[in-house]
Amino acid sequence: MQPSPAGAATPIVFDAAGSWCFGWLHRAAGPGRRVGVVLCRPLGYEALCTYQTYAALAETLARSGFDVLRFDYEGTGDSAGSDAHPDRVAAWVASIVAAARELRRLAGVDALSLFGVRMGATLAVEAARELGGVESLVLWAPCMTGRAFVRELRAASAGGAQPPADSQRGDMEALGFLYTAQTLHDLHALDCVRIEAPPAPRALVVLRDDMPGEGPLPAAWREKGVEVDALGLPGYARMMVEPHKGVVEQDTLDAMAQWLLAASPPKAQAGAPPAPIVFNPRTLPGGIHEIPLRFGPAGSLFGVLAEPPEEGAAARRNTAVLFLNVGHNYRIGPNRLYVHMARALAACGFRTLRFDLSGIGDSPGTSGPRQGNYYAKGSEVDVSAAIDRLGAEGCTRFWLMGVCSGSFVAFQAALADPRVSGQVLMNSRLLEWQDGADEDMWQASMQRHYKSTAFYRRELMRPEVYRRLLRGEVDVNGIARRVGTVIEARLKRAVGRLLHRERGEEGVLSQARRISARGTDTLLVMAADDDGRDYIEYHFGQRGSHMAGDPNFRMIVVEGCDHTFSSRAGQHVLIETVRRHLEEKSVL
Amino acid sequence: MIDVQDAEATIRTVLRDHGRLKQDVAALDAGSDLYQSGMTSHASVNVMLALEGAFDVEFPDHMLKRNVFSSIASIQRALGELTGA
Repeated sequence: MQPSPAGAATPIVFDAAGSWCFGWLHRAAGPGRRVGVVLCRPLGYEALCTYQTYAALAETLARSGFDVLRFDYEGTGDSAGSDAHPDRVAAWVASIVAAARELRRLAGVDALSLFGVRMGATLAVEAARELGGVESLVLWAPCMTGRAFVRELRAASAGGAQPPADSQRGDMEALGFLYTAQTLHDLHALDCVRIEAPPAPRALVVLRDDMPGEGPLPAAWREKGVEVDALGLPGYARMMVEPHKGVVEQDTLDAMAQWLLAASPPKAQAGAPPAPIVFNPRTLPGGIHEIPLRFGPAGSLFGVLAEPPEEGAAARRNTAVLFLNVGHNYRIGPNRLYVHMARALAACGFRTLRFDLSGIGDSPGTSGPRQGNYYAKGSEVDVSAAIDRLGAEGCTRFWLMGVCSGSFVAFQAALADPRVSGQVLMNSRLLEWQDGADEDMWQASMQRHYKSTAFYRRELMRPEVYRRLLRGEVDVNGIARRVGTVIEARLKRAVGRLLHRERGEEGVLSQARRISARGTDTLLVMAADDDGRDYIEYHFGQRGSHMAGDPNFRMIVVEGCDHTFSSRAGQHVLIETVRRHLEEKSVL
Repeated sequence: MIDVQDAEATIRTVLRDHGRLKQDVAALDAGSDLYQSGMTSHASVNVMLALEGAFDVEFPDHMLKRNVFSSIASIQRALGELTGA
């Protein structure tokens, strides 16, 4: 691992809950305060939404003189484990307790404060009870009870198009994450309103800015003698809007830092300078090791390399699989898909790197956080930097993988860098982009999500749809606009071909043929109902027919998957599809 | 007792503030499918919470279903059941 850029966080790993957690230590600027702060993440989808805010808060607090640890609970994020494992709630709380001890050990602080958003706050309260001696709690929109959170999960799960696979067993899938029957049962036991003893003498409760009222917690805790400040600060709604659209409200983070500073004197005496942190990778099932990598200009790019066991076949160990961000989702991918895929492929002998493109997640890049368009060109440079780094590790073959806008980056990088051996493009919605071409029919149309026209054709066979049409329950105009885009694009192409008296070839198709002729393999995986399928089949023909016979091209349409492969069953289908393809290609 | 007109107006306000719909809520038909109009599963949770706050009710578990939150009319029916209106 190259040294971190000055002032940057350091990746760490520590034992917790019978396994291990991945985290980041942000060292205090200057002499430091005697209190260290542990940041406890919310669960599931909300952990993705809040990632950038947590990173920004850690930096803010470190600048203010606090040593800070942010981390993933066991079974989440980049840590070991899975949400399918037993005893999740206990593991989450145990992870916080272990993180608190690790922060004390690494930073030499003698007091602790815990911060959490939503269930992160609820779990922080639970951990504070176990730890004892926690000086203060900062709770942003805490879930008052686990039961309240489970109700929300139930409502979200109901909003999904497909019933959860294991609902008969009592498991629930909500917003891309699995909550087993045991997890749901154990969540019900959490209650941070009814407390017997104060979990900390001081608490700051930051209220949601999108719902009225402060809830029962502040009053209940004051009755128990806790000094509680309940503040209405902006930022919650914009932080939670969607993982790839979240906004960091810096003023609110500054206010939290000020609140903590008010009761936190500097360290009594400067101790010995902290020892450098050595990252000792722990083992995952199957003998996989995960190692943090910094690379690119001034080490400004970050990723996690999953190394298969040494005894694997050389052809696979020399093959690196790179996962590319979906929108502004950080490297674990939507629904933690990239972690599941990266570990499954590493278990088969491939090296895998899930990393953050410049301006996303933990890759600050050279120009700060990325804003706006996911399709802007320039990410190819980051991909080439990752290939350079993996080449230095001995890799000779490089596969790029991306869902949605990640597949755009893969395609553009494959065009730009001849070292790319193959690409797996999943649920692509656009593979080319022209800045300023806002009127381009595909660019304009694909900014809105519908279903594939194949889906609507199938729906027209169902009588219920006509009843819904008559009741005005179907977005006829929106669907008609999308179908119109497909028809208009095809008509324009046909007219163009007639006028030019030759078979025209659009950019994407000719580019794909060029990549293929170079020997680069392409696997296109499209969910049957995904509306990107219209775009892909416009360019490549139905099920890739325009590329038929090309040994370096394959298109597979998978059933039962949504756009981000959010269900457990959908992820299994995808991973098996990709694994089989890679194994077949690695034999050649 | 919820007045029907008031209830619909309140539901539309909640949807405007929390539904994250792709189209103007005022122009939506009461039967229009809110999920097709852009309401995500995540947004539907906030809609549920805001409705509970606005109408001082709690949706029981058996009502936490897609068809309850799928349109203004279906929400209104569910609220009617809960309040006896």
